Amino acid sequence: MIDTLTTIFDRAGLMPHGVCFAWRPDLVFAHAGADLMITVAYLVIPIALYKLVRARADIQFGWVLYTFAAFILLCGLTHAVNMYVLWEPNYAFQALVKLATAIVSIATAVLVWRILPTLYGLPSLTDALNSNDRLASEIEERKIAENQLADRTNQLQASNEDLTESNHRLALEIDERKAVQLRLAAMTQELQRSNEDLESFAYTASHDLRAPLRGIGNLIGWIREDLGDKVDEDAESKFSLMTDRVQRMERMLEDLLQYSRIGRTDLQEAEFQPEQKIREAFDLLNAEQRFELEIPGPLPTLSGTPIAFQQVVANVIGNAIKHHDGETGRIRVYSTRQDAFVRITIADDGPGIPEQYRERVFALFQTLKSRDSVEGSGMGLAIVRRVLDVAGGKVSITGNDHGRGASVHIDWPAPETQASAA
Amino acid sequence: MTMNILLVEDDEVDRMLFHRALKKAGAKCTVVDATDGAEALELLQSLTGSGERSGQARNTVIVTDINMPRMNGHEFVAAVRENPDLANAVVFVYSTSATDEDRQLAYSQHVAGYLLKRGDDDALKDIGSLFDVYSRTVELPDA
Repeated sequence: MIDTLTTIFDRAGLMPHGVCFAWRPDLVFAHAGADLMITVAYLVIPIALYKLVRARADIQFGWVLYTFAAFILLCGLTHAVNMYVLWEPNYAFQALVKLATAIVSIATAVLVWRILPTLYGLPSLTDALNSNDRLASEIEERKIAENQLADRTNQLQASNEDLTESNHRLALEIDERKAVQLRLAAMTQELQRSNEDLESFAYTASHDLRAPLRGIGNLIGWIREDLGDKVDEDAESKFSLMTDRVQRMERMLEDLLQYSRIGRTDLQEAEFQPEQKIREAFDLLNAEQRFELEIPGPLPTLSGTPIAFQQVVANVIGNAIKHHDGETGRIRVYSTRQDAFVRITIADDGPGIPEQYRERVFALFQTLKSRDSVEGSGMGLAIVRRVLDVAGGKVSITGNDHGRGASVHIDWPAPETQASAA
Repeated sequence: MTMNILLVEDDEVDRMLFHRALKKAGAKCTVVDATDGAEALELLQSLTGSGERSGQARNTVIVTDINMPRMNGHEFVAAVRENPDLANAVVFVYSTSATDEDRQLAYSQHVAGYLLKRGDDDALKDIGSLFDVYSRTVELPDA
C-alpha cells in the first residue's frame, strides 16, 4: 500500500502538462489564464453562498448550499491544480484533488435529486409576491368586511339598546297598568260593596222607617175619629198638616225604596216601541185631559228593559204635567240620533228649568219649589238618572229652542250598538 | 162558638189597628195578642196540652207579622207546622213586606192568605170586614 502510494507519487519519467502544448506560449497561457479565472471565480462563489446562508437564518436547506459551496470550491481547486500541472508533472496530486471533487460532486448530485421534490414544493418568489398581493387584497376585503361588521354591530347594539330601553319602558308600563288594574279592581269592589251597602241601607231604611210612620198616621186618624166633633178647627188644621207630612214622608220613603231597587232585580229584556210606552204613560198621567201629546215623526224601535223605559218616561211626563203653570199644555216627543244612542226628547211648554238647576235636579230629594206648593218627593229625576245609568243610557235637560219650557233628552243605547257590544 | 184569633205582632199600633178594625166591623172574634213568634208558640203549646182549654187552640186562627224580634213569622209558621197538634192550623200572614221572597216562602208553608199591610184609608175597613165575614162563614178543621 505504502509502496503503491510511493509509486503513484513517483514523478520519475513524467513530464509537465505544458509539454503537451509543446510549450507554445499562446496555448499554455490560454489554459493557464482560463484555469486561473475559473479558480478565482470558483473561490468567490462559495464565499457568497456562505455569506447568504449565514445572513438568512430562515433559509431552508442551508446545508445543501454548504455542499454546493464545497463542490464549487473543489472544482476551483481542480482548475488550480490543472494550472499547476502545466509546469509540474504532479499528476498523483491532481488525481487526489479530482477524486475528492468527484466524491463531493456525486454527493451533491445525489442530495440535489433527493431534495428535488421538496424544492418543487417551495413557493417561488412570484408565488410569494402573488400570494402577498392576494393576502393584501384579502386583508383589505377583510378590513372592509370588518368595518361593515363593526358598523352592523354598532347598529345592532344601538337597536339592542333601544330595544332594551323600550322593553324596560314596556315593563314599567305593564307594571303601572297592573297596579292601575289592581287599584281599579279594588275600587270597583269597594264601589260595588258601598253600592250594595247603600242599596241595602236604602231598602232597610225606607222599609223600616215606613212602619212607625204608618203608625203615626193611623194614630192621628184614630184620634180624629175618636174625638169626632170635639176637635176644634185649629186642632183639625194641625191634624191635617200632620197627616200631609206623614203622607209626604211615606211618598219619599216609597220613592227611596224604588230608587234603591233599581238594578237590584233582573228585568226582562225585549224590543219595544217607545211611542206605545210614552202614550200609555201620558194617558195615565193626563187623567184631567189638560194636556196634548204630539209625536210628529215615528220613533225607532228600542231594545232593553221596557219597564225601565216606562219608569223614565212616566217620571219625565209626570214632571212636565205636575210643574206646568198653565191651564193647558202641550208635550212634544221626537227622536234624533246621538252617536251610539237614540235620543228621545220630551219637550214641554211649561215654566222650564233655569240653567243653573239643570244638573242639580237629578240629585236625591231635590225640588225647585216648596213641597207645600208642588207636592213631590224630589226623587223623580234621580230615579230617571239611575234607571238610565243601569240601562247604559244618559239623561240631560236643556231649554227649548223656540219658546218656553224644558226639553228632557233621554239617550237610550241604540239597538245595533247593543248588539255589537253583546 | 166564636172564633179565636191569635195575633202575633210586635208593633203596638198595628195591634191596635187590628183590634180597631175588627171592632169597627163588628166581628165577633176573641183576639189574643202575642208580641213575637216565640211568645205565640209558648201560648199555643200551653193551650194544646190536655185539659178543658185544649179546644181553644183548635178553634184559633193565627194572624202573624213577619218581621219580629226573637222568632220571625216564617220561623213561627215552620214551628207550628212541625208540631203535630198544630200542624193543620189556619195561618194568615199580615205584613208590610211586598217581596216575592216573603210571599212565596209564606205560601210554601201553606198559609191561608198573605195579607199586605196597607197605609190607605180603606186598609182598616178591609181587614175588619175580611175577618168578620171569615169568622161567620168559614168552618175550621177542628171546630
